[in-house]
Amino acid sequence: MKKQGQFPKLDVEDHCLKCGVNCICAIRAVGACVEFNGNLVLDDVTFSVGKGILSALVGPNAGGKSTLFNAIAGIQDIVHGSIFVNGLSPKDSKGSISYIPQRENVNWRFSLTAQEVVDLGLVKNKSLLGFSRKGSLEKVRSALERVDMWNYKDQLISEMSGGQRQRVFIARALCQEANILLLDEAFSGVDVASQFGLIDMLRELKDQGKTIIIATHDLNTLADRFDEVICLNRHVCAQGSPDTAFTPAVLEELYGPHPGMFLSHSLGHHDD
Amino acid sequence: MMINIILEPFQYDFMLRALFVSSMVGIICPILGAYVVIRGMGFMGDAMAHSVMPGIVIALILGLSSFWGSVPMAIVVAVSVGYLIHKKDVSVDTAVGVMFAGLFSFGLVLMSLVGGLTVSIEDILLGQILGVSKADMLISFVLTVLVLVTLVTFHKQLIFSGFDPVGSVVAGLNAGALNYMFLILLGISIVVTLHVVGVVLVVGLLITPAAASQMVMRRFTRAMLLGIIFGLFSTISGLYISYYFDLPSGPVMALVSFVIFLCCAMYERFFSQTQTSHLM
Repeated sequence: MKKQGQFPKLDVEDHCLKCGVNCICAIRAVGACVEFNGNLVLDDVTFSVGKGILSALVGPNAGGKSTLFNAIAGIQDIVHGSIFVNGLSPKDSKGSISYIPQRENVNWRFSLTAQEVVDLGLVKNKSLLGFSRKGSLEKVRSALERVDMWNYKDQLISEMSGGQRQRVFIARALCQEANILLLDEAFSGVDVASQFGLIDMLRELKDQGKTIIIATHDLNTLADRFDEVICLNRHVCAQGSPDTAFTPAVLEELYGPHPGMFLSHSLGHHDD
Repeated sequence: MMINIILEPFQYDFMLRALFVSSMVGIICPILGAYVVIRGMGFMGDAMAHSVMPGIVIALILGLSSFWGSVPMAIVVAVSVGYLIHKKDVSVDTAVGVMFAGLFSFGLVLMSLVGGLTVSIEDILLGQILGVSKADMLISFVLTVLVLVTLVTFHKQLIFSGFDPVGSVVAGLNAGALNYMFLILLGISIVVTLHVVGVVLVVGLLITPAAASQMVMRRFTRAMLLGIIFGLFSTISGLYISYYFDLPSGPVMALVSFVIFLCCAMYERFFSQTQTSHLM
């Protein structure tokens, strides 16, 4: 494992492999490295995701998926390389990304209704004293209707199923008017039927121009619903269509010498 | 007859001032306490109350109202705790515990070294609500209004950053600044409360009404409003009981608050479907 100091501190701005010089990708990482306590948890990560693409970020636990999301979102510094979000640095593009967290990163003690959670997406647009601007309720209603959750608007999110919670968070992202959605372990704790419902809804959103990346260690039967997959185990092992990306060599690099476990396991088989 | 019982205590100016400050505390504590309980920071309130002790003693040595020492001290403590948490990767309990023990000890030692202060250690520890001056009353009012306006302004932001810390930062909120602001508001509220119940029992009014209300009311904002009712009832009824039965007002208020909590716990146990495991 490379240690800090082995890389020169340079901004790398190579041409995008997809677009060339005039890159129009929603997200582009070039040689990005992140370190914790002297150890690299992301090592020379290079990939790009075009606008209006639904991608899966696949890799083992502790493979750096959440760290990469944090770096894209501008809340994790990179020690080398560059990340661009809509052509800007992550810190300059805050607000254009909506982050849907892993369930264990949410404080469920807050007894908030679905409507209240979605309303948080408007928090940057609130008038002084926190009162909603005119039309805020309509935005919340519209967002909840788009994810088929308006009828549950008064239900507490802490009492919802995993799939319903994800829909509410997606509605919050719609209210925030973010054009990039990062969903961290979105299928964790979500039953199979709801997973398919969720992915179909996300496909509709990407057809409307949203760029969506879902981090998961458990892609399985959903693979063919994605436009592309990014295989990550500290570095990008492969990126491409689900049909071509998962070669035996890539699977071994992701999951060690027993990639068959990945190919044959059933949904919910792995721990979160 | 009843009206006489209600009005009799307030023929005295000091009781009117006590009622006014108690009402401020009854409003401000449950609102701050709602955030404190839900963020699991109950120990923070208790420790911050103890940590302002040196400020109080220094103000008394200089012959000033204790507010002049406790308010700056509370802000220093809040910023220090926030710094330790955010910059030094120290856990909240550890950071607060270190500040608590060190500063409280310093306050006690300072008081012993100086001696001859007009206020006794018992007054500082258990409150001196009947000794509130007009200036204290005015400062309490200004501080309470300041805290309430700030909280109303940043209510949604505080909920967002507490509910989904990562998501709120990505959405563009400054979580660090919000946390510092919250700690400073907490410190100021504790300073106002110190006059009513003293250093030792601040936590009784800060978290008990909020915890009780969250047991019986599911939605966060509604629970906050119910907490205000519990807080006002605790402080005002505590004042009456202490007047008529010649008991120390601070402990009586904290005790009333505790009884309300027990009633809510029983109600929740036998009649409510509210899930409150997080409060235990």
